Amino acid sequence: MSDDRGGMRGVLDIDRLVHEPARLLILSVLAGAEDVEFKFVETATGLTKGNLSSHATKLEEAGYLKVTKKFRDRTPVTSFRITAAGRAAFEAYCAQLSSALAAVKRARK
Amino acid sequence: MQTSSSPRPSDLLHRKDVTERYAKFARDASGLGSVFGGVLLIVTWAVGALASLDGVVRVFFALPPIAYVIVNQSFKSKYYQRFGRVTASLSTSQRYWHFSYVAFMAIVGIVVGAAIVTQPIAGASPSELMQRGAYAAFVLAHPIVVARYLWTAEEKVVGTALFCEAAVTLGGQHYGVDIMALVFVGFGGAAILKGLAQHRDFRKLRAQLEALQEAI
Repeated sequence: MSDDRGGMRGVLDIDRLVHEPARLLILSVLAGAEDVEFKFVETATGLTKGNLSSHATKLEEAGYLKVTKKFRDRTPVTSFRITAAGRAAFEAYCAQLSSALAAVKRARK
Repeated sequence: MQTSSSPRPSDLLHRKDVTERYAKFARDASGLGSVFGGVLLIVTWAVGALASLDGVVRVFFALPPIAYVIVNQSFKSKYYQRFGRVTASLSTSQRYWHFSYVAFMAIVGIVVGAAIVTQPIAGASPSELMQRGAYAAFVLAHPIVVARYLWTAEEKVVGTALFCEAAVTLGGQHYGVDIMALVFVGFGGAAILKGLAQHRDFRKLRAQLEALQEAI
């Protein structure tokens, strides 16, 4: 019972910045690699360019990702890189969510 | 799009996994580039061993290693990274293995290059000097190309074999129908099989990526 309370209490401690679905998708993609181009994140998350840009800016402001802009064949290319803080926040979120879901399942039994 | 509900943990892990597998094709998997290298390896060995080579034909043996590097890189950047470039960080063991191989090849290159350069020039014909120069150029260029472009085990094996074949043939010799046949055909065949398996994996990955786009 105390475990269930702990699991449910974890929900209240969830990082709200990460909890937003679009930002969660972005972090899940970035967590799988070192350096990811904008185009791939757009494909893997299904977000529009504008939506992706605005959420990436919020994550950058929080120190969860770094944005790099460079030119390749005279074309601007934007890349994202998850920071150590971003990776820790994403992993903590996944752990909190999993333990909360496990607590709900136990409570249902 | 505007996401309305939180993705499930399994969705998040699936996206992470897809990104990890896709990132491998930037450096750690060659797919069709490996198939091309394998075919090139077998064909160049067969031509070198079975055909009579005169001076002009030998010059063409400079092309396979260059073609392999260009085509392999093109497949990686244009085909396998078509959804945008994604790179993974090198693990410590990968870094160690790559550095060790490059260092070993550099030592071999320096030793062989020094042996050629210190050979007496007097009495040598211009064509002989050109053959020596071409041999030394390929032997010395090899570790630089490996360090920059050949990351996986199959790339190293195929690239090294093609460079050796080019150096030996330009140097006036050729590999025969002996143990080298097993080496070239064996490694070539293995590179083709591995490349095809990687290409099949990429096609599955591409379908999963397209499904992710449509799912939202």
